[in-house]
Amino acid sequence: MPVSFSIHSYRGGTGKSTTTANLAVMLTLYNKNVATIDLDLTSPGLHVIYQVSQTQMKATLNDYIYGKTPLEDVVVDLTNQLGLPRGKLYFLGASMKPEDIAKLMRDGYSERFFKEVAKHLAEAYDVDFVFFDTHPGLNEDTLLAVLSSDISFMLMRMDKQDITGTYVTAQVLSKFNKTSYVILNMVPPSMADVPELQVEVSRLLGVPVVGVVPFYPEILQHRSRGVFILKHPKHPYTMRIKAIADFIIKNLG
Amino acid sequence: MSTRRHFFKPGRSESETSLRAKISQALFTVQTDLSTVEKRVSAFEQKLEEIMNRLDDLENRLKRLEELLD
Repeated sequence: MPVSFSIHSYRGGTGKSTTTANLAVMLTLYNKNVATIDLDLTSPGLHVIYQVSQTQMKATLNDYIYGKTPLEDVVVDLTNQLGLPRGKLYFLGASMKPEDIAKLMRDGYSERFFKEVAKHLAEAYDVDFVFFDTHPGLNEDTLLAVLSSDISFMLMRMDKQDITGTYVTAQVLSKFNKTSYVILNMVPPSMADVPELQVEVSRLLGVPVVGVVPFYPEILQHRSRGVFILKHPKHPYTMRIKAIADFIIKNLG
Repeated sequence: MSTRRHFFKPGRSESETSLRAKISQALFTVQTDLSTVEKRVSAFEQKLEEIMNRLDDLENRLKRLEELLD
């Protein structure tokens, strides 16, 4: 069975989709097969970063969830499109139609979906890792996604609202003994390399910090046009993402 | 690799109903502790500020030392 990860944040705009896409691509460079699933139903962003057009998607995740279509019709293989030299990268996108979004938001996910989709991806595509790019916030469905994945990555920025929300999320997850890690994203550069930062955040949340990613204006300027690390392989951001991928390979793979 | 087509069968199990109930309960319990949350986050922010001030101070001393050496 593959290892499944949820990428979650308390607030929107924390960089979940950017982190998911870049981390997934980085893991393919370790010769891993990785699937990324866009569960941020109200504001899907992964397809923009991957530059997947709606016509490339034969069917959507919503069709699979409702049992209308097989997984094979939902999966888009991005390996060649992104020119990845090894490993495989797959994308599963949600519907952009307002009526489909509203229906899934109303009905909610099934807990079995998370285990089944990972199992199906392993059988059909020999996937090593599955990433669920979740909807932000603390609602029942998002927590179901987080709790149904093997490992939870919480993305946090260093502002009070985000810290408070992540603290509350960590408290909830601790009640379920969930294996969780924190990635600090968009950290003010003056703070990013202070060793005490990781120690203090871990102490507050009771969760280890696996990555500190400073704020880089180049990421904003990039405007989600493609996967940043592929276009800027020597950028410090790429090195930070590599450090997180190293951790996954060594400890969670 | 399998040539089988993989369909998902929708529907909820009893364990899911129980997990959803536990999630609601956990959310309810945590929300009642918000004053404690506020205190802990403020203490954390204060500690961070102290660390940053200490670093600023160290940086200033280094600058002064460099000037003296020049």
